[in-house]
Amino acid sequence: MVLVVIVSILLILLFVRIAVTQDMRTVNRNRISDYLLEYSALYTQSGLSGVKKVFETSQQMGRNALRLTTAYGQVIDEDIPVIMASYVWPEQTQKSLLVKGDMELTEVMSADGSQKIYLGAIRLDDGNTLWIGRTDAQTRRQMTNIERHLWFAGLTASLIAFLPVIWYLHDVLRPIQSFIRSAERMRLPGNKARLKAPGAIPELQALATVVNSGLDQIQALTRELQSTNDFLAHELRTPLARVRGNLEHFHDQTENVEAREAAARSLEEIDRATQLVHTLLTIRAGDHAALRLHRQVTSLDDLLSKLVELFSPAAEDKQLSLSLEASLSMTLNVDRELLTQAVSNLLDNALAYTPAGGQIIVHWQGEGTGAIISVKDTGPGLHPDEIEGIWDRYARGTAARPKISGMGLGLSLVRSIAMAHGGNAGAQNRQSKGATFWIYIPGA
Amino acid sequence: MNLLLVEDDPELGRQVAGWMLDAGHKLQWEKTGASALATLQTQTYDVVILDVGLPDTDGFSLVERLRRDGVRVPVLFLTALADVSDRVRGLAAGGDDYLTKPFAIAELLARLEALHRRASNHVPTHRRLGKCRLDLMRRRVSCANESVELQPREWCLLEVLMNHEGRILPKKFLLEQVWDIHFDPGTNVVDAMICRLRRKLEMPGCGVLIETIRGKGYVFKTLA
Repeated sequence: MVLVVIVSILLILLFVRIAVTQDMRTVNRNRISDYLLEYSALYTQSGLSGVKKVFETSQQMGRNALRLTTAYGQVIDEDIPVIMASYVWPEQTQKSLLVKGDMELTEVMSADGSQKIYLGAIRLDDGNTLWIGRTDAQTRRQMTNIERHLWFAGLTASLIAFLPVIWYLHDVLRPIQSFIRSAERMRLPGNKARLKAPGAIPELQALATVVNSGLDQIQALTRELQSTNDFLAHELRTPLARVRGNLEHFHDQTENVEAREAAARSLEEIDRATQLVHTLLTIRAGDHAALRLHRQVTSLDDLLSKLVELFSPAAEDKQLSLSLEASLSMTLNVDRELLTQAVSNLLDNALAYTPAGGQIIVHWQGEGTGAIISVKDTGPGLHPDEIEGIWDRYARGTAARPKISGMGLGLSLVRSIAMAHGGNAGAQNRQSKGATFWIYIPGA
Repeated sequence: MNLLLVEDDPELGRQVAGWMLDAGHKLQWEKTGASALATLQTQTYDVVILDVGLPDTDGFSLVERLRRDGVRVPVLFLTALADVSDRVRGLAAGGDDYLTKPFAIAELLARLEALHRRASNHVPTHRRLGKCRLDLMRRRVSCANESVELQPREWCLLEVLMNHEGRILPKKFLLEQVWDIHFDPGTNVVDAMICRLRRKLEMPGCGVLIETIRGKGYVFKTLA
């Protein structure tokens, strides 16, 4: 942008300079031919002395020179000012001046090529040649003056040309860049960044206002969701605790075996229902970026090897081989407990769906500044139609996977936790047999 | 144990008070944060059971206040807030343990015992297991001529069970104490581990028993 402006100004300056130079040259040549015609008339009338008299009176500041030669170049008389003494005049004209009044115009460069004189020769009626020389000193002075003005005009023009550029940079581009930065910060869960556009054009300010009010609404909803969750948790958990307490008391006191068995089953159901509500609330909060994360710098190999150890006895009981595929050790800033729960859900799934003799492999690898954790099994794999569907709330694999009790919230929770971290979760079938479930957690 | 219960819910308070008295503990019950604070300034307790949602203040700030005043009594939070961040906040405020509603009596008792033991620096001295010897260095249990080596996690589980001998320990409590897992991992990982430990301790004359009690948890017993 800036370069284009500068180059175009330079081009304009160059063209103007060429045009002016050509004009000056024409003016000088015309002036010389005028002199020649005037002096040749004078020469015819009153001879050399008349010519010299007029020349001397008209000579100002030694700008002009005069020389009279024979047709063969022999100098008869000359009057050359000091400043022009160093120039070497040609002895002969290039073309032969045959008739009285024949003229030739030429230019002679100074020794160093920086200056020049304009020369003109005319044939006089007695066969001699009259030469007039004229320095370009004045022309150069004028040129310098014009150039100075041209530069001034060019700079002023470029400054004026820069005004819209500056306006664009300041009022349009800078607010947009600030929007981009704010929007990038907003991607992070729990961030309260807003678009700011002080001094931007009205359209951008209007855009910022509209977007911000939308964001405010979303934030208000998020806060409401959080407080609803807290309220629900409290209003539900306290009565559940009362019921559970009484039930437990009954369980411990009754002598009736059947009644005790019924109470035990009810206690299990209460615990399951509590867990379910908690999971649902967590998923809901996670989906709406309202999950409060407690991030800690966590070693991934440590977290995963502990989980593999936790599930090993259960896997052994089911005759499954469960192993952790070693990878480069790395740390992530995550909610340790939620991530543990997410991977645990994947392992729980893998254990439930992989038939005896199968193999479950936990693996992790760096991805940018984050990581991908995957759980591979040798189960029946996923029906192509349900690879996305299984992540929906309440959905459970249908075609290839047998029904197992539970609400199928496990995978929704996995995805919610990944999304609350700004990541994602997914699944695909392995080429050989079984499925791979993965969680992507970006660096934070 | 000499306990202070701070709970505004009358029914829950009545239940907890009843259980604690049944279990042979002394218990004082306060219904507001202010009265609890007043009581704590005049009397000393072994453990405080503190509900987070109190009518006049919240349990977290109450504990912060206590800790600022230099009161070191162990505090167990009883709360309806189950999020990780809530638990972290509770522990950061100066609480020592955290139990979410609804909870099992056995779990509350086990936790109170653990807190009391920790506070009184009580190191269990009995390192005899029924008729067996425990080699603490090599994590080895020997009985007559037979001996078996335990994995670190199995050893940890055995320790927790032994420390609460005769007490029913819920699955949730074992998950937290042994694996530091604060959610239900679905697959019955505790059961699998208990079975494994049971098999290892199934030696003639070992004289220990890990019983499963439906709906409640596991109980460790040594046979006389």
